[in-house]
Amino acid sequence: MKRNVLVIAGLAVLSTSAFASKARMEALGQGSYSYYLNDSRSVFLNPASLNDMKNYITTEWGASQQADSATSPRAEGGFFREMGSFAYGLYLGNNGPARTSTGGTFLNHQNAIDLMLAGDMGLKWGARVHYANSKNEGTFDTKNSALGLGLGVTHGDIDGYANITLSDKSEGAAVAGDVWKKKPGFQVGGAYKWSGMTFFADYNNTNEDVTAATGSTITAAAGGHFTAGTAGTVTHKTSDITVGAARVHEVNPGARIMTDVKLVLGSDEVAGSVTTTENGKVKTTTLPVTIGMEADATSWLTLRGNVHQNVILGSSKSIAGKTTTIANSTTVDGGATLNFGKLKVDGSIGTTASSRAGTIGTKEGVLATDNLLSRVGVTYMF
Amino acid sequence: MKKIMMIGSALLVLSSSVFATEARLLALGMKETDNEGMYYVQDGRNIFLNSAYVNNYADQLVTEYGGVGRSFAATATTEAVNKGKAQGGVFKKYGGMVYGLYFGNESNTSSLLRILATADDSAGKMLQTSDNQIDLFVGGEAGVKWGANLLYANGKKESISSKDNALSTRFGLIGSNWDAHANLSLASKSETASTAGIQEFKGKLGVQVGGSYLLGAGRVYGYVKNFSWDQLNTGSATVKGSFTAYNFGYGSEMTVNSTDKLIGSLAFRKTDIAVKYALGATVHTIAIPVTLGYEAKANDWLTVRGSVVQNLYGKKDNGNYTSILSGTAQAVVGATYGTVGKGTISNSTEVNAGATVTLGQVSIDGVLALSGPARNGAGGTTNTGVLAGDDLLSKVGLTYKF
Repeated sequence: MKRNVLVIAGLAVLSTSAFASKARMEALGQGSYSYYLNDSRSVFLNPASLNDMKNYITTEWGASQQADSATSPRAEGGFFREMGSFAYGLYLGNNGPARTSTGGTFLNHQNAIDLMLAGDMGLKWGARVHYANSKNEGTFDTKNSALGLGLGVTHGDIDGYANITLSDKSEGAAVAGDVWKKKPGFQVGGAYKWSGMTFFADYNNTNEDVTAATGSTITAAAGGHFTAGTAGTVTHKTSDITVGAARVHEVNPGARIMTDVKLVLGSDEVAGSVTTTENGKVKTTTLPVTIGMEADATSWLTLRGNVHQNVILGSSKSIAGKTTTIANSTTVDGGATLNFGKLKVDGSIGTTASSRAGTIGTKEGVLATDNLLSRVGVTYMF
Repeated sequence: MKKIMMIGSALLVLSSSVFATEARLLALGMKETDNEGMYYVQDGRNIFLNSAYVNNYADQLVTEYGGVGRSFAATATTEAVNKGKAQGGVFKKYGGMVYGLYFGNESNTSSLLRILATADDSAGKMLQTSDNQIDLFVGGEAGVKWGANLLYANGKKESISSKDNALSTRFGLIGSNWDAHANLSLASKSETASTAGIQEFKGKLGVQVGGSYLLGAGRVYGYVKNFSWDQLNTGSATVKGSFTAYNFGYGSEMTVNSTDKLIGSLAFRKTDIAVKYALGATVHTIAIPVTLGYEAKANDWLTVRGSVVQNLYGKKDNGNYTSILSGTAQAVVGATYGTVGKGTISNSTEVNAGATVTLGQVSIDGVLALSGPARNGAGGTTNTGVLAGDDLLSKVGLTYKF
């Protein structure tokens, strides 16, 4: 029995480590990365996971653009390789969220690079440095520079990580004096595997100031408003506390069911807006449950999907103190991987509407054979 | 071990020799204006970079599917990755020599410069780009592999007093661990009636010299490309223009096994264009792109490849596009080299993908991921992350090896 468990566990590691894309994570209801599933995307949460997934090149198909979403993906990709007892990686295009404002344009992260290094010395460790720098000269200069650091460790059944925004500043938008500055932000967390379960906790906060200088035409940014021409600063803070538990049940070596439940306490606070009703804190409390599956349909096809919904808890409390249920939280995602030996083609399915006049961003329950896969990621392992 | 490596190398040569299309190299991250090849990836397309490569790609017929002629539309001057340009040729070995005949490999750089020189872009007056181009190749081996090419194009349309011609030649050598080439544009002229009288593009001697040297697991390579020209428009003074491009780098095509490869390169690229109007129009770009790619045989009939390319450093300093006389030319230069101003080349990350379907001696290459999700005519211009089952491959090329 013990031997069978070991074999199944080994096969599970082999099969899951083969996947490496945003499409897979989204099809399993995990967002950009998972707190408990093995996937190469985990390197952006805990760089120590690079020790477990290396020697591959991955590309996320998409446009050369700043923004990234399931319906309009951004081109990015990277290369990860072991070197003795170390592993290193270079990832291109992980540009972070867009900075949108009305009345002026701040520079976003451009051409970002992430460098990773990991090692195993009994304790698995990893580090990631994120860097982006850009500048446009004109009547006045617009600039952006960003530096981030990720650190992680894994030891047996326990792992921990800290992702830190060291600096992130955009200068110049409508006028030279406009500034969007992120103060140091932290994401810290960890997970512990016990008795077939994974328990995890994560704390993530951001703190940013958007300053419109005198004469600036900026009227809105970061959740607040400005009076055009008048100097002002909007401060925007967010924090999320996530605690949860998950279980991956291996049905057989080629199929698994994932279940997780999370308590997420969110806070979004704006101060300094000239629209005084925007100043204050919005709190959200959710208890989402995700039930997912991943199964090898054939030797060349893996299918996956999930259903996700808030249960018992799922509401937001406005600045005025009014509580509102977060409506229509039920989502279903699907995805597939085409397996060609060392080559894996991941993608989302079911994201195409029945009409071909619009974009792919409408789920209408259609399995389209023309737009076979969307948000495609291709990984080659060597 | 040595034997395995030799077998691997032999298989690599065999497998790579059937690839010979723009689609393959574009999927692997080629960023050349004329899609003329890559120094560190073995491909039949490299004959347009170094004509001595004709020795490695004999006995095959290549066809690239696409439209006829070069479009004058502002955004389609240079060959768009999603829209092929009809071209193709045949290469045959006789005795110790290899001969080739290729049609339609019209130069994007030449087209760009002719459009740039157009003063009057009203209907029927655009300067003609080179058309019905013929390339003749010959190659052989005498200690080192050598190759030569002669390019000729000639066109005339009397109804609009238009005529154009082009003549150029390529010379190349391949040694045991090095290669070198000199490609010369000997003549390039286009004239058309303008509102003022006659407008003319008159190219001077153009030179592209370069080569590569095997170093470690890859190749250090580089070229310098320079063209200059005069542009005339009746009633105006002659305006001189110059185009210079530098590309130096190190690239590697690392063999994983007998069929699969990893591609990696780091390059320095610089492009300078100057058109000497009273207020000179200029393009200056400097970039240090890194390319990471792969090519893998998915099964016995399918090869899949892809790459991600991004500038580690990229700056532009472009000025005075408004001095350029035609709006079409302004738009073309803007679409190709970015807007006026000084700053970072934004959003340089590109992901490319492609596939080859091998059916015996026939290989069908194509670019993946360029079909948009909509079918209302809007798709097919950028990578939208969709693997389309209907528009499966774009810019398809077919190679038959006999």
